[in-house]
Amino acid sequence: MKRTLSFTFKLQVAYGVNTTYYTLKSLPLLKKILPSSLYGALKLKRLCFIIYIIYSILAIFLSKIIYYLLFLYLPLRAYHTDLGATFLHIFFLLSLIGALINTNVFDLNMTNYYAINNFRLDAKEYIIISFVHGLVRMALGYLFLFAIFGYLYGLNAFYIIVIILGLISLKVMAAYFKLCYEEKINGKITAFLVLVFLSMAYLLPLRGYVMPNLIPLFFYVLLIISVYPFIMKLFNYRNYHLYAKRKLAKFKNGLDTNKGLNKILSERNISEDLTITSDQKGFAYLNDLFIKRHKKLLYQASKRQCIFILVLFGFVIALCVYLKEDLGELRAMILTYLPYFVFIMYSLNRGGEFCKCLFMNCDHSLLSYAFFKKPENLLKLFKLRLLELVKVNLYPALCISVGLSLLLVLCKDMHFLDHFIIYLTLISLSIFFSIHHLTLYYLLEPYNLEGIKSAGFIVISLFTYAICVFFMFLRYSNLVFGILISLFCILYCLFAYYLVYRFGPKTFKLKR
Amino acid sequence: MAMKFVIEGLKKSYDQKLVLDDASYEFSKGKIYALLGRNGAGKTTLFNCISSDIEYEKGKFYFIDQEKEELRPSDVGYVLSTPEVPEFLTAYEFLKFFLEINESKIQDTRSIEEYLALVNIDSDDAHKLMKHFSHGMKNKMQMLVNIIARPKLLLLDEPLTSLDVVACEEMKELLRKIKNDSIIILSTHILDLALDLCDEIVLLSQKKLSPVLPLDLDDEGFKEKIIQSLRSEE
Repeated sequence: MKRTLSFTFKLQVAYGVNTTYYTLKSLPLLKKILPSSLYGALKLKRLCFIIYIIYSILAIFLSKIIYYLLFLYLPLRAYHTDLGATFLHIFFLLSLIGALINTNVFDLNMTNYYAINNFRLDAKEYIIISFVHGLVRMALGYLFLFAIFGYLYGLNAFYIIVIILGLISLKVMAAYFKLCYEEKINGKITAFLVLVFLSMAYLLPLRGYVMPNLIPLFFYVLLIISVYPFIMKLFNYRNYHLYAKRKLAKFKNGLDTNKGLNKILSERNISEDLTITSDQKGFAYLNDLFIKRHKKLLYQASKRQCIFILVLFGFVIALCVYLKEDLGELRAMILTYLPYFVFIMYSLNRGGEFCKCLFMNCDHSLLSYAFFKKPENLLKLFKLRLLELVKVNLYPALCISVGLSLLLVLCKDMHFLDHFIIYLTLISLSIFFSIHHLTLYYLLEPYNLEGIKSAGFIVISLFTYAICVFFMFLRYSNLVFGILISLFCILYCLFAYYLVYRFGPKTFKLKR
Repeated sequence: MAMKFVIEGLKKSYDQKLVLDDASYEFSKGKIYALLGRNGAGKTTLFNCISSDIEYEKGKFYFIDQEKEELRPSDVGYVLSTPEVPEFLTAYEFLKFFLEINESKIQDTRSIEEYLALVNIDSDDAHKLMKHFSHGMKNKMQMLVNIIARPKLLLLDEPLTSLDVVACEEMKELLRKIKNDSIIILSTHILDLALDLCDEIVLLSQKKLSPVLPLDLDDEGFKEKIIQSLRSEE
């Protein structure tokens, strides 16, 4: 166990340190200063090690703060129920959802692949160590979160310890079920349970129903008491090696030919349906076949988003009808909270996935052919792809627009301009993010087969994310905001198109 | 006079490591050249420079036919050592797409089936997604697409290294068939392949290109001479 522990640590650190150096090396200014030979330089390695450790520690706490802000702090502002009880009510139900959909015993990633296949570490020891490591990180994250914000919700040291031990117990049980019954777990039932817990978490407090503090605490204590047999079962489970091999086998063939993990996963998105054909010609033919053979990846997610949005709006509309309360406040909220949708449209946009898939399954190979790299051909394809990406993202935007518009009708707001601005803003935002993703892809070509993105791309993405979050806190009149955002989108589109036209032929190439 | 392709004073380094230093050579149409060098000598780097896939510090590439012509990326066909084909397409679809795009440039166009027959891909395989193709079949497709357009210069980076004996012989035969249409440079570190297939051997050693004069290509002494030249790099 000691050897595996030390090796697991060394492997993760080596991978992390080299990734840190690689990221530093791809930053625009540092690119020329740092030579590849420095991968072996001890002092720089130490610096990267420090950066990596700081990043790893920060990641534990930052992820918990973001989780807290998005899922607890912001929603809690909307309720009039007891703050402490509502906090624990939502937190408990979210922890059940986390156990259902966010429990990983053995991820498909390169470090795990190297550990099991190349370095032949003992699978049982390696998986248990990695899992415990994950639990420790989770516990530290929550400890930090509660230490800072716990007092707001009346959580004393005893409560905090019970909650954290309860969470660990829950994860252990979920891990056991995942390990032994993964193949039998029904995705639809999981989705149904998630929906039920989510509704209970956020809708019950709207009607003033929250669990008294004692109920979640009682459940956590119950989990702590009953976790022991599951711990023993995890330790005595015999088939860790087979489990790991079965998971890794899913991309074994690809790795044998030196493909990256992302490439292998991406290849699985190609439809095997050979009845798919196209009557287009040239680049339109290529694009048409690409879209049709990746329909599941591109349109299924969009379809799911639409269903979710429509169900959500249906639910809100039904609630409004049922409550029969004065809806003037709701109307004002819709009209002034429009900037909030910048973040929502950003989150819903499929541009990132689309571009990654384009690279992995199409451009990575075709960019090695001279005919494909000709400037006029690149631009021809850029236009075709842009149209398709806009289309993919337009459906959810339209669904939200229709939903908001119906809510306005329910609020007896029949002003054409109010409705028009909603459609205009959301459609503009959807088009803007589509262009933004594709333009970045053509100008930075951020991917390689491992999926590692260029540091420049990461910086711009973080910047975009920060701006979108910033918009969540802006309140503007819908008319001003709608017009400004649409004008900005038009200007950005023209500018982006010029940039791709001017620089795309030089920048859109494989990074060798 | 047969068309020539000239590399003049090429210099390329990665960070502080100089890989090619004032490398120069003249290649003639109608011949297959073996670019021979040890692992890591810079063969792929040289090809990447020629195909404009990477930047280089100094150097020129041009053709001399009736007059001097600058090399354009579209003049180069580049067959990579790890074959790259769009895996979401079938072989038939890839070829159809390629022929449509290059319609105006391809002389004596044949049917897709005829082209596929050139590299012995039968109709069953032609309609399979290329993600299910073996390394050898992907290699054949990559080679086929590169030779159909008859580029002035065809670069082949270790093209036969991982093929089985039958596929290897088929590819050699194909290269011999097309050698009059292009200048073919084939990089390899396998000496026997270079001796068997190529008309001239160019050594990439000590960051420079140099010819190995064709005294007697079957002579064991000649092999020894090449090995000595490559060893001198150590």
